[in-house]
Amino acid sequence: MTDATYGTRWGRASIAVAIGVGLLATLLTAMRTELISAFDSTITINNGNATFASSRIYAADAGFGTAVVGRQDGTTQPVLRAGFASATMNGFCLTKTESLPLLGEVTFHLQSGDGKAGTSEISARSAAFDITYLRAASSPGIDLKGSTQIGLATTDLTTSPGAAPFDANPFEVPKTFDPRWYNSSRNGGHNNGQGYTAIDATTADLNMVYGDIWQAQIEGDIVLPDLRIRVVPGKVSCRELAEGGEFPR
Amino acid sequence: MTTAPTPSRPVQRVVVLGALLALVIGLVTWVAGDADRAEANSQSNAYQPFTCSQPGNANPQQRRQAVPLKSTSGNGFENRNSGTRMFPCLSGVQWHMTAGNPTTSNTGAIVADVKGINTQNAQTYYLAADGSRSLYQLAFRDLTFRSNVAQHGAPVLSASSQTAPDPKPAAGHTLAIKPDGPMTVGGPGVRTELLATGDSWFALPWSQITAMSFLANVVGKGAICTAGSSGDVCRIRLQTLAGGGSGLLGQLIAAIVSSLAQGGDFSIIALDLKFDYLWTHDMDASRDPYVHPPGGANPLNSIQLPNTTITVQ
Repeated sequence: MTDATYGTRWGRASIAVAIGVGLLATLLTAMRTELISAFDSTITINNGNATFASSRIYAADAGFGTAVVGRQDGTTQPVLRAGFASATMNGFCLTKTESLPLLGEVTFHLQSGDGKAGTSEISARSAAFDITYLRAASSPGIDLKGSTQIGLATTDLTTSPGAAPFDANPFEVPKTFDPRWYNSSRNGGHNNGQGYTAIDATTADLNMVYGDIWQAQIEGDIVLPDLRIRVVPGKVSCRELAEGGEFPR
Repeated sequence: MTTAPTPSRPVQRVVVLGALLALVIGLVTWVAGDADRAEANSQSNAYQPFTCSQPGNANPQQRRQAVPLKSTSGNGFENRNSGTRMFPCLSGVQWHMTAGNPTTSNTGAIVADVKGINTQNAQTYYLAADGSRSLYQLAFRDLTFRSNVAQHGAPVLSASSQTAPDPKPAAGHTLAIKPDGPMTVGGPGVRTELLATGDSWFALPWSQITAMSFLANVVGKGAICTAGSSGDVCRIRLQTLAGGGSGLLGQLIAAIVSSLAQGGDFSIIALDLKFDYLWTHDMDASRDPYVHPPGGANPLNSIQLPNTTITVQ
């Protein structure tokens, strides 16, 4: 029998408190989040080191366009911005690993879903994910349906919910010359997204997908049933869980 | 028999005004319905809200292009000025699609089948901000890769920002889409079209071309198949398929390949397509793709990419 049964070991408790505060700080710096609410939920992840996985994402008014995001060091990171007006998902996993002074690596791990194979219990509206790697490890894998276009400028995508009229340039690639985005100015400064190419589809059906995510934003309603959020020491990766067949199953 | 009493003047006014209101509502509804049907022939800010503009020009969509659809039947295309069209603001990035073994001389190394091909001669298309390209139009019902494609060269789709003329992204990058094996473009009820360069090519067995015309052997492989052909594997360029040759020989070649290029099917050993724009739509070209996607509320499969990896670098 140990001393702890009858009292508090203050030394260990202080370490636990320090870790807890550190993890809380990680959360605050890593994410600005209102995870579940009826309206206008926003999840924002910045600066990479994040991975995601889902058994199925079925997205309406889907668009995929090349874009860049700013890094903290002032350089830019090319990404594929995947956005949709509304989507349902079967299971969702999101991890973000941070390296903290004294504590080392800690991972923020979000997981949602009912664990059933045939249900798409998660729903979201007006979401955009900036990805650098995506794998659809199944057949059908990625299935673009309806009217599909490849080669239009990212500025020309439409992913607004519902019927027309759609919002212009929902991915917010600058229309006019911006030296962070363009190598030069032409057409009187109206660069119009030239060089940023895109794919537009009536719907996109993504099966057994996982990958590396640089930034995510969900501005519309989001429903995440059976949500589990953990902060764990070390590195956990949804991508590695998916590659190992652990999630999604 | 009794006679109904005449309504009072206020009631009569209400009845007459009600009838007029009904007439106006009916007319407005009818006009609105007609406008919906007319959408197939015109660019609409509701569906193309981004202003693909050129400063100083009165048209705020000056650089948006009109691309005609393949007509529902026959071998023609819709009118570029008044038919059913797409209205893209072109990124200027050239997409590159390859599959199969480009150097093989093995005519049995078939990796894909394409059905219902039609082509149209080159037109000039302007890019989002600066520059233009002369592009041929290629339409088909479906392009299906066989299960053996990975043995000879799995399909790869890539798009490098460097292929766009200036202005281009400050941070150069390449988007790559790589299925492990077979993919499908198009399918039942869906037509696929591309705007591609004239030197894009398909490699197919020479026997498929000689089967089309007794003249093929007279003209000879060297006149029809371009550099890179090997043995009886014929590499035929899109501009050849589209009848882009000149003079008597050009006309002869156009006649020989017309069976392939006007609704024909063929098997593919390898392909190398450079395209600026690819789009899919309902086989019925009278249905505006922006308003009526193939399949309607339950959209049909357009591009299927099983076991696929996408990267941006």
